[in-house]
Amino acid sequence: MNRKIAIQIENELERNRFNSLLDIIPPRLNCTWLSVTPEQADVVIVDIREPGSEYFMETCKATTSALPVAYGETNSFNSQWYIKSPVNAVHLVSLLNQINDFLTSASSEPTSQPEKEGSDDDQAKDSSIAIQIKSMIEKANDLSCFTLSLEHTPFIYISQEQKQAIITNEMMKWKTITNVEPFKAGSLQYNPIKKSEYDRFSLENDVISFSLSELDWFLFAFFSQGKLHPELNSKAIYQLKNWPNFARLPHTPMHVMLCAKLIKKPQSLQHLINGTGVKEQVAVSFINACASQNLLLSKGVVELSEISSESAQKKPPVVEKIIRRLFG
Amino acid sequence: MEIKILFTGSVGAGKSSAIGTISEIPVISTEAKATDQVAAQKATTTVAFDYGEFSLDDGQKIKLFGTPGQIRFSYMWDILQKNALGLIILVNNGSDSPLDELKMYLDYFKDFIENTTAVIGITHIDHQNGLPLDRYYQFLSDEELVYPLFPIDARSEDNVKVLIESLVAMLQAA
Repeated sequence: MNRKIAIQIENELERNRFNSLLDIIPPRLNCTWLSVTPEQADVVIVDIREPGSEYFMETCKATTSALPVAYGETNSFNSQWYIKSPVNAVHLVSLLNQINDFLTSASSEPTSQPEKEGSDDDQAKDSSIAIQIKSMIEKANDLSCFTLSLEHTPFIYISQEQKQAIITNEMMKWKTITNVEPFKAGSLQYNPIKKSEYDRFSLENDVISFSLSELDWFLFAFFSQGKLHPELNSKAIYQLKNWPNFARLPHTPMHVMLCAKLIKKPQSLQHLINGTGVKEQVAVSFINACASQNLLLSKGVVELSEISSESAQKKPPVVEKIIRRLFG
Repeated sequence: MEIKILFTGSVGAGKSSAIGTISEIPVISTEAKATDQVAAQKATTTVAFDYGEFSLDDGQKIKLFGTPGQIRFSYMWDILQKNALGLIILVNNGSDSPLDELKMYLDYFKDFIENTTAVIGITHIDHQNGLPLDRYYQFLSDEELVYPLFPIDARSEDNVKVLIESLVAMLQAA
């Protein structure tokens, strides 16, 4: 079995140490570990000495997308998975083998699905956070300014009067790096605030402002939770009309790759996933986000027999290296 | 192996600035005093090429070449496009006829682009006499072209990276 690991460490020396060890320890591991970007990973090693790492660890805990492993001199975050700095081969082998055992046993446990009642409340819970937030914004149009909070943490400030939303740069940084969806559904609240409070937050914090249309992109690209928008069809063949404005819209390298694929050739969601190797959750979010900007052309519906087993194309080495150099 | 990315585009579009934004070395420029109609836009202009570079993790250099903007120096365009990985076209939205200029560059480099790819950056998007972005998208659609197109600030490292990022993605998707 192949497992995927990402190294989220800014310090070049530390990062290279991990990469070198990953090159030499495979014979001692009980499965194959592939180095990937955080969006694709089963496990992400996070340097907890770096700014924003605590937030990142919390976001990872709130999702099953990737298992975070704290890396530092001490396990100051009391993380379930921890490896001491400086890393050595013995510790890394032990950690990866333990994690593989853990993931293997977790995947073999029977899962019990709660029975669906089909009530409105349940349907609301089934909606992605992106759709829930959109709905709240639409319902709240008589309020001039308000915040949207998840898990009691305000994360979007909205001014209906200015048709503008602001988000902290710290959050944006982690979102665009990791594409981890940080909050569980079902705990969304909005709170009206005074315009002066909105202005003060905007002035006193390092924020990014969006138009409400740009906010739609942000919500669907990062808060779709792998749920295709109800108005879209998972069997439909889509093509991009033109590129989203990535000079303004937050994005990850995965989004750029998906754009290039989808603008060159109409294809279904499954083709897109097969052809790029991205996780289904990322591809679904991307399709939702493109639809929110009216960038998708529908080109019919794919027949099941047409879905090929096309696998992700091997990237030319030079191209891969340029991406790594420019975007980490 | 030489890896080269070529920047071209209209006079004053920001080719030299864009290269300088991401180059790890001071940009080598061949600027000369502008004496023709370009003098109304800026004091000097590129007459041969701009050159910058950045290094990959293994030490390999990515060479960034910028062409002169004026068509009378197009002999340099032919020289510089050889063996380039792809083309970044910058268009000055404040020029008299930016769509004509874009079309001219797309036509001139047609053969090269068909074998590689291109990305288009529109600078000075807020220019008072400039075109709205939709006009550029419509132009590409009319021409049945699907190249990435973004409004950018050539002085912004993030914006220039978006151009290279999308150029690389287009090459991958080829």
